[in-house]
This record gives sequence, structure tokens and C-alpha cells, in this order.
Amino acid sequence: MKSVILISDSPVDLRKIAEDYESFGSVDAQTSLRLVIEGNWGWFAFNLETNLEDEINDAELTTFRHFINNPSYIQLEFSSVCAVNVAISKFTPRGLILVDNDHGMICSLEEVKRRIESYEDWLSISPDSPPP
Amino acid sequence: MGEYSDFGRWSNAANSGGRIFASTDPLVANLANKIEAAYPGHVVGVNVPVRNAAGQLITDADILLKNAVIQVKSGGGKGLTSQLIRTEQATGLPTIGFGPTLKPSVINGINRSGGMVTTDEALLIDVVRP
Repeated sequence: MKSVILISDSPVDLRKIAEDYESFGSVDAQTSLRLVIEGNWGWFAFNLETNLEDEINDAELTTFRHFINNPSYIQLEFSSVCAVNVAISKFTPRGLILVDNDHGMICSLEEVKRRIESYEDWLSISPDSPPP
Repeated sequence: MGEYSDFGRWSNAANSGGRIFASTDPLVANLANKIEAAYPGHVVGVNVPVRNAAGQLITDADILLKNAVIQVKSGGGKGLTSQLIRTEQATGLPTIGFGPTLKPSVINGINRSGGMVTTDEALLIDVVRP
């Protein structure tokens, strides 16, 4: 299942996130920890992850905490590149948000939005990738 | 157990008589086709949405087999632990995480939670034997 990780500097309220997508598809707030949005472009889901630090190595944790003292983690699952680009493009940050593409790229939400607008493949970019 | 609303895309392979699975994720298609070649008819579908009785989308099974689900990751695998748990709860099937480049921290996290995960494709194909 495809997913990326969002790291927030403040607690995340999925009800607020749901408001961002009401005009883009069917919004299903399944629980306080899971929100699913489906549309003709596919689907994506926000999952609040309370135990994600169990999967993060020390180097990554140091990177996250360099920018955010007390991070909250959201797993963004998606069915397609189109779906995740809708999710990111329409996401309204309420504080600092970092994006980890799980291939080694960790950057700001704004940087990912810029890459989407430039039609760049941001999902598989890694530190070893050639510059765009 | 959840309901499988879709069974992915597959086609008859003219030469082999087997099925060829296609996915936007090359890792998923490649693994599904190797399993299908090893055990014809064992792969139910790829990228299969799983819904509960109320029609809610609970998860997406990368490779749905007759006896298990495989969730595939092309990157380091962060978030795989919760995906495995959610998939098992939704399908009632044993769920195995797979990825050639999964990080040790992810594998350790899954092991601590009692889940199943491997980076070894040959071992995985052997484990899911019908």
C-alpha cells in the first residue's frame, strides 16, 4: 500500500482536515484516528499514528526533532499519484508540516506542493536522485 | 471479514495459459506474477480495496492470496506496522509485510508488534505456499 508520512508540530484534528476536502470527494471520518476521502481520482486516507516512532531509526528521529520538538505523525495512504497529489495540494497546514516520502526525502509541505506544481516525481526522490 | 469489492486487473497470458497481473506499483505486479507462476490460481487480485459491511474503505490489499495478504513497500517501510494490523483486522487473513529495502527499524518494530515481515522474496513465496 502506498503511503507517505506527515510530521506535524502540533496535535492533529482530523475533523479540521476533513473540512479541506469536502468539495473534492466523499469524506468519511471513520474514527478519531482515520479519515478517508474518495473521489473520481481514487482515494486517500489520513491515519494518526501513535506508535510510529517504534519504526523510526535514531538518525531520522534526530532529523525530525531538529525541526519539531514534539512531533505528531500522520500516515497518508493513497491509491495513486493523482490521489496523493490532490491530498497534498489541498492540505491546509495548521502549523509546521514536514513530509517524509519514505525514500529518503524529508522536506516541508510547501516544498512538496511546489514540486507537484512543477510536475516533479516527488514520491520516489531520494538523496541519491539526480537534481530535477 | 471485509468484503472485496474489486479484484484488480489481470489478463490471460496466451502463451502460458496463466494470468498476468498489472499494477501501478512494479514491485506488486512482479511479486504477484512470481507467486502466480509458482502456484497457479493462488493470487486472487492485486491492489484490492477492502470494505466493511457498511461499505467503508478499510484498507487496500496489495496482493490478495487465497490464504494471506501481502502488503508491499518500495521504500523504507515507515507505517507498515499499522497497515499490517489494519489489514489483518479487516480481512481476517494473515498479513505479511514485504519490501526489498525495508529498514531494520521498521522490521524490528513489526517484530515487536508480533507481525510478519521479510525482505526475502524467495522465502516469502515459499511461506505463502497453498
